[in-house]
Order: sequence, then structure tokens, then C-alpha cells
Amino acid sequence: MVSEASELIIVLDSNEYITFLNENNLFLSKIFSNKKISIYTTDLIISEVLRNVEINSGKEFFKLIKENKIVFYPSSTYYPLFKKYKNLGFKRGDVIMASFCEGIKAKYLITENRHFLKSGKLNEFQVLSLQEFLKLY
Amino acid sequence: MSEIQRINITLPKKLVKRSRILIDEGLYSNFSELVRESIKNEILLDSRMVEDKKNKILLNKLFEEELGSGEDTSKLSRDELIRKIRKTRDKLWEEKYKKWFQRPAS
Repeated sequence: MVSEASELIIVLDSNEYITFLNENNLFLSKIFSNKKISIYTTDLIISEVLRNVEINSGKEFFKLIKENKIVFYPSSTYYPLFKKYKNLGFKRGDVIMASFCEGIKAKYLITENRHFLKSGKLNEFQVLSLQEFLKLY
Repeated sequence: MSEIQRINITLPKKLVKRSRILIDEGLYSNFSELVRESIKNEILLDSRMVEDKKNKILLNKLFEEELGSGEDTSKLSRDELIRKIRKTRDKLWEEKYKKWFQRPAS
């Protein structure tokens, strides 16, 4: 279930959180402080982050989710969309990510993983790097 | 038939009187039915709240399971990090998500 239709919904891929936790860069802070942007996340992203940071950064990540009111929905909610993205040529975990982004009606997926773009053609949401997104907002 | 549990509740006399009218008018067959239906409606109305709570529990459980399973990646270059995350995504696919695609068609 997604809240107000007028809000800008985005999904931050795990690489964005990991870079933020590792480097303490301020780019994501700009997004967190923008009240017009709602950030959604799911189990795949959480697991990827926690498996690629040391324990203290993992605890920091938990705080970050709570303090910035990042909305969590389990990816299984969007099971009906999996087949669509599999048929579009998406591979493995990218099927889960793409289904989640469409399911929560995200406008953007923010990622540095260009491999994602090669997986298949997208109509429901746009894939941008963090820099590209920050130029827009 | 689903399992049932008997619960004693305390209500203001006024509310009981009003409830009796609904039962007498035939809207509910008895007081238990009225309470059951009211609770169901309340749950429906608050479904978003219930969903949020369920998701919070899932999120906490996920953190309990995964926290501490990772390693320091702060020394990796951007490309190395992306490759490492890609491997994690593939591993998670094998461990958790792949079986979702092997469910028999209903």
C-alpha cells in the first residue's frame, strides 16, 4: 500500500546506502532532508547492505532507516509482478528490485549499478545515478 | 471451524443497551456476532496500521538475522564495491528468492 499519490517516491539501491555509510558523504543527506521525497526499501536492499558493511555501520543503517522514516515493504508483496520482469529479460535479484519499484509506484531507482540498465527496458520507473537525481531535485 | 477463545469484556451499560437494539432488530444474531463483526471492521479500518506494524516486525527480524554478517568494504573502489554487491545479490537469489520462482502454478 502506498500513501499519498502526490509524493515523490524513490528507491535507493544498496550501493547508495553502503557508500553513504562507508564514506559519510553528504549527498544522501540532501535527499533525507527533503520532505517531498519518500524513500522506500525492501528486504533485498537491507540484506545487501548488511552483508557489505561491518557491524557498527549496520547499526548506523538501522538508525538511518528509523530516523529518516524510510518505508519498508517486503518484496514478496509484489510477487504478481515477478513474471513480468522475468519475461522482460531481467536476471535474478534484478527481477525482485524492478518488481518492487513498480509495485510501490516509485518514480526513480537511484543506483550506481549500470548493469541494472542492461537487464531490460523499463517503462514504469526511471533509473538514475545519485548525481543525476540530485541535478533534478 | 477455526479455534475460538472466550474473552470477558466490560462495557458501559449504555453501549450494551444500544447493542441489544441492533440484535433485537435482527442485524446480528447475538452479542458475540456483533462484537466479532465490529472487531473485523475495526481491523479493516486500521489495516494500514496493522500492515505497518507487521512490516516493522519483519524489518526488525531482518536486522536481527543479518546484522554482523557483513565485512568492511570501505577500502574498495566504486567498481569493486558494485561487483561485490552484485555477488551478494546473486547469493541472496540462490538462498532466498530463487525458490519463489519454483512455486507450482496455482
